[in-house]
Amino acid sequence: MNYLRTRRPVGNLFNLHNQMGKVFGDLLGSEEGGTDTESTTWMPTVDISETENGFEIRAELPGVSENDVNVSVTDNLLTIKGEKHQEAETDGKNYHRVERRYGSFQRSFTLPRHIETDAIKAEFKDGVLTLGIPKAEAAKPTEVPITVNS
Amino acid sequence: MTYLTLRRPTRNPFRFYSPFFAPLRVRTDAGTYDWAPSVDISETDDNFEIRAELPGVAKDDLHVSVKDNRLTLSGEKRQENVDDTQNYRRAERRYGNFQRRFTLPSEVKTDDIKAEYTNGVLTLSIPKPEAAKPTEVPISTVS
Repeated sequence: MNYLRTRRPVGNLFNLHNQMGKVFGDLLGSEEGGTDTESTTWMPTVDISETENGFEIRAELPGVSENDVNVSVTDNLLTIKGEKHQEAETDGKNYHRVERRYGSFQRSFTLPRHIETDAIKAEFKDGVLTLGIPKAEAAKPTEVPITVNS
Repeated sequence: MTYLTLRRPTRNPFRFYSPFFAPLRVRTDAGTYDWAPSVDISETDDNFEIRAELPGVAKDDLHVSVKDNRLTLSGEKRQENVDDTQNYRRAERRYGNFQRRFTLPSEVKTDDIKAEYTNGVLTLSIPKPEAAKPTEVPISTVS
């Protein structure tokens, strides 16, 4: 059976390229923001696990409000995307250190066949988005009874 | 009468040039922890503010302590529900003990530090002492 896969390793490459571009931008004179990638600035880190009954994706989205997250499924492609805003206006504030990342994010996953896409559940708690993706009956392991002929 | 001395920038010569020499400093001492949260540190007229990203950390597993002007943010991030029937396909998130330390300016009233945890972000508001706040000097005109 096939696994739940994360998408766009190529996108990752472009991201890396973009980041390198940002670092070396001045040196190489490269243009900001590749045209191949959407203007996403970061990707949430995820854990993906599987049980007999389904898959679970947990994505870290600290400081993102529930209303700014969007989960969609089209043609077996599940996409988490949204926007992370800086908490308070930056007016009148001096930043001494900015390590956190802001802006729009996106991450897509290819779902295996035999998924009940209508039954996907999303829950958001303490900055972690948990997606419960149930397997269809057909994909669950079934026990084959063995009869012994004596 | 004593003189009105000009506050010499030598007290903190790099303050305006580099965030690493800001009055609220991030300590880099090593310790036994698995990961360190990313933080933003900002300053307004009244407060210092530290915002740390701690997604998936339960509030009870989060500790903030101050000793000798050293603020320590520490705790543990546990895996949500570990059960044997789960197969991990991908594990990018970090778990275990975390710690991050900061040196506060010496005049800060440590009792007044406020901590708030929402959406996986811990916000610490550290009020500046009165002496450190900018004060407006009224100018009167003599006619």
